[in-house]
Formats: sequence, structure tokens, C-alpha cells
Amino acid sequence: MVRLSSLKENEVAQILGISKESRGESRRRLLDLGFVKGTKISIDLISPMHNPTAYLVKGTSIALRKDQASKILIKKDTAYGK
Amino acid sequence: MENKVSSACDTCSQYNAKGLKKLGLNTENIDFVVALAGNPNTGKSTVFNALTGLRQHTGNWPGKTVARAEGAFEYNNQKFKLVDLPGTYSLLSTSQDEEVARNFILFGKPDVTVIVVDASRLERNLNLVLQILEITDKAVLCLNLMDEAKRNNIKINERTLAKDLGIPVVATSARYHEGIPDLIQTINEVATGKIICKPHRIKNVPKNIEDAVKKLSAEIKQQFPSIPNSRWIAFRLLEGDTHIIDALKTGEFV
Repeated sequence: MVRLSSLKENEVAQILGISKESRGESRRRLLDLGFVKGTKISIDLISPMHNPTAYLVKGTSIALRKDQASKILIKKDTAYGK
Repeated sequence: MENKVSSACDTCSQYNAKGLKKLGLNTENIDFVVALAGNPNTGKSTVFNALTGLRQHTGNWPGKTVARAEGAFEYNNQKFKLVDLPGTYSLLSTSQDEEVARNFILFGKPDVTVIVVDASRLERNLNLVLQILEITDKAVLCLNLMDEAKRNNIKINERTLAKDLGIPVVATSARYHEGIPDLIQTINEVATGKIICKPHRIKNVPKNIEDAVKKLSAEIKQQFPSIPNSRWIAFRLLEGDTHIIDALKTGEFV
């Protein structure tokens, strides 16, 4: 289990859940944006400082700051790596 | 001149061209209020323009004052006011612009809520759909961007979807005006009660929560008799949602 912030370009991962560090409104927001358990995720666009980074999730590109991405727990999927 | 039927469209209930009048900005003497809700970028404004004949351009980027757009159309001598709302991902967590949409869906008492979804990204759209179905009895699902879905070889079983959600489903490509007559007809039938919706609701709420919600909901109703969706508010109060608590204190919803 690693954090979404450690995902590299061209890697594919599966979301395991949102860390307990993220609670209340910020947690709800991430869930509403589609960061839910079992969803496939990859990097869509990277900004110069890697912050924010846009992730491809459920067919839409969503940009997250590093501190938000670090709250999302993933399992890197080697079988799907391109 | 004799009165000949010039095409099948004239007599077809699906597209009663004579019965349909785009009223543009004229929103006087309205019979029904219809809200257009949905995720961002699903074509709500395109549907709005197709129905009203307006050329509303609504953008929602943070910081823009998001006023809702209003227009009207007339169908079979009944006037419908259409309210175009900013896109929202959820009724629960809201940024400032999304609050306009949420408050109208919850407390604006629309007669029909048309939920516009992106057919090519249906799964992520269903989050909002299910939330809206919790709080309204009259809704229509507008499966928009069907052209894009077709291009991506996505097939949707509309009948099963309608059955599972308990509301009518209309496939459209608003950009090409496809499915719009069908949408108008369906809105009309839901508004007038010809179609009765049985929206999907969450069942099996644990007993202790259900009891607390019922008790709280009854008290809210007693305090604010005119408030719709007291059950929804009760859930938010139990969650400790500070926005809702503040809004209730200031009487914003009444």
C-alpha cells in the first residue's frame, strides 16, 4: 500500500481507500470526485512542480494538490503498466 | 386553403411542433418549474438552450458569481420555467458555486428535476443522481452526450437503468437536437402526473439512526413548517455539517 502522491507517469494503480487522516468535508469531497475504492487511476498531466498533478479517474481528469493526493491510498498495478 | 397535415410530425405526440413554443426569457404566468441539475460539463446549458431557444453561456470557474440562468418554454398550453444550475458533483460537499445548485434543488421546490448526465461517464455521474433521488419524487434522467458515448462504443441499457432508478430515462445529443422532443414530452408527463416516479431510495438504514432521524426531522418540521426535505437536513445535522447548522440558524432555507 502506497500513497497516490508516489505514483509515476505511465503507472497504473488501483485505489484502496482514503486515509483516516482525511476526514469530514475533505474526505467527502474526494469521494464525490470519484476517488473511491476499487477505481483505476493514472496520471494525466503533470505541472512543473508536480503540484498540482491531474489524475485520470473514471474517465475524467481531476487535479489534486500533493497534500490531497498523499491522503489517497493505492496499490500499484504492475500487470496494467504500459 | 384546405387544412392538410403537412407531415407526420404535426399529429405526433412525440413532437407536437405546434404545441411547443420557445418563450426565451419570458417567465411570466408559469405552470411548472423545472430544474436542470448535473455534474459539470454534461451539457446542461446546451439542453437549456435547446429547450428555450436562448443562447445562454454559463461558465463555472471559481470566483465567478454563479447566478442561475432562467428561461421558459410552452408545451401544450402549459408554461414551463427552466432553471439552469451550475454543475455540481454532490449535494453534500459543496464549493461556493455548487451551493447555488444545491440550495435550489433542495429548497427551490422545482416541480420536476431534470438530471443531465454524461452517457460516456455514467458511473461517476450516478453519485449525484442517487443523491438527488433521495430528496425528490419527480425527476427525469437526461442521458446526454449520446453521440460521444456511441463514438466510444458505450452501450447503455436505458430500460434497465430506468427500472433500477425508478425514473424515466431519455437519451439525447443536445448539441444535435437529438432526443429533445422526447425530453420535452417526458418532462410534461412527469409534471402533469401522467408518469409517476418511484425513485430509488436507500433502504436498511440502521434502526438507531432511523429513529434519531425521524425524531429530529419531526422537530425541524415543527420549527419550520414550510421547509422541504426535513429528513435530509436531519441527516446533515447528525453528521455535524456546519454549513447546514449555520444556514438553519439564520433561517436561510425557509
